[in-house]
Parts: sequence; C-alpha cells; structure tokens
Amino acid sequence: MSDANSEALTLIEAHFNTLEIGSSLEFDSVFSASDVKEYAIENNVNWPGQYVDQNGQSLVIPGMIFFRPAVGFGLGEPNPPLTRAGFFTRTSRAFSQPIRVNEAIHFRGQISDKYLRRGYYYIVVDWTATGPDGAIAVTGREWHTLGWARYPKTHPKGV
Amino acid sequence: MSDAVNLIGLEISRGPIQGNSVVGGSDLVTNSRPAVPNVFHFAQMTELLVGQFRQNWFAGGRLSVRYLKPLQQGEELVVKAKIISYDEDNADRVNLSIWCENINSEVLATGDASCIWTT
Repeated sequence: MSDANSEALTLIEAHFNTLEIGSSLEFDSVFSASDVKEYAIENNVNWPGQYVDQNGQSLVIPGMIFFRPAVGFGLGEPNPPLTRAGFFTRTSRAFSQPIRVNEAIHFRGQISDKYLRRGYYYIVVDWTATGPDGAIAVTGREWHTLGWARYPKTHPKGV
Repeated sequence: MSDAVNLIGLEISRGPIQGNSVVGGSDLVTNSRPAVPNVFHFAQMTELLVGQFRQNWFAGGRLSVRYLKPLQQGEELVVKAKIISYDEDNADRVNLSIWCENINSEVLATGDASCIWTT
C-alpha cells in the first residue's frame, strides 16, 4: 500500500469506529435557482425543461434531493483527499411530492449500518426530506464508502 | 386499471450523454481519467423517467440503483429502461428494469423503478 493510502485508512478506520448505528443528523436546506442550474449543467440535464409543475413553477431536479452521507457522517477538510468524499455503491429513493425552487426542506439522516467490505469502509444511511407543508417529500437509503482509500485484495481486510 | 398490461416490454432510452463532472478524489485512485460521480447516472435515469412519467414521477416515482462500474470523465452514457410488470396492488403502477451502459455496451449501473403510468 502507498503511504498516502495507509495514512488515509488509519484515519478512516479511526473515524469509522466512532460512528454509531442509530446516530442521526438533521438540517434545513433550500435549493435556489442557481443551485439547480449548477447541478443541471454538471449533470447534463435540461432545466427547467420538464421540471415544472402544473402552475408553471420550477421544480428542484429529483436527483438533487438526497442526504449526502459523506458530508453528514464522513471526514472532511483538513483530512487528506483519500479520506474525503468516496462514492455511492447503491441508492434507493422514493418520491412523494415535488419540491419547488426556494422551498425549505428538512433533511434527517440516520446511520442504519456500517461495515468493512472488499477493502472499503461503508456506511448505510436512511434519510427523509420533509417539504414545507410538513409532509414527507422523499425518502431514501444510501450505501456509501468512507473515502477512497481501500485495503488491497491481498490484505486480510481487503477480501 | 390502465392499459398497463399492454405496456409490458415497452423500452425507452436516453443518450448517449457525455459525463464531464469529476468526483473529488477519484483521480488519486485511477490510473487514467477520473470518475464521473454516480450522481450523474442517477440524474440521467431520472431525466429519462420524468420524461416518461411527467408529474406522476414527482409524486410517486421510485428508483433503486446499484452502481457497478464507474463512467470515466469524457465517456458517454446511455440509459435504457423496460417495463417488466405492473404492480400487484395498483395496476396503474408499472415496474421497470433500468440500467446505464457506456458506448461499449458495458453495464455501469442497474436498478429497478416504478411509477404510476401516465396516459
């Protein structure tokens, strides 16, 4: 393993050990028109295009509305790059009502599982996004790695 | 009940769409081009599904995806979906198999979706 990978794994493992299944995080969020435009450009989506309600109001693109596991429960700055972000391996989401641009959303995420698999440290987060009327707008479950560092396949923890 | 029975086997697709965004840190673990975030796959799947189901997607769409292989920056993605059944409890809801391929027809992500059919 490279020194950078080994250093990152040490930090990730220490962080992983502090994470408790059942721990949760809540916060409010608003997606502005510029937020949605930025996402649309990055992801090659035509917006507002088909993301408009019956009254002509622009809707937040559904793929934007999710709890970010790495932001909520992962390592951030000033840790080394290999410890930060990571990637989704699985996603499951259900949409119940549209969210309009500039509407307040309340997110709640909870760690429902954590494990080491094929060399990566994972967290599983169940979440809800509640709309301004107090009703659930979106629910989801995200499977996400903690960072990019991994044990090699030859390592006992890499299997 | 809708005419969902007649929809079984209907295929829809979108793309190819080029992935240009980069997930932070991916360049450190790949020997070639960095990876496009899996958020991109989800966005393209949603674009396809909203195009098909319109307003019904926002109020009842469901999508589950497993990400199998990264799309590399600059590569193109194609999203395909096929209606495979209608819901046992609500015959107006159709179930789809959905997946993403690169231009070499390698499957990058696969999943299931469902929504009330839009007539």
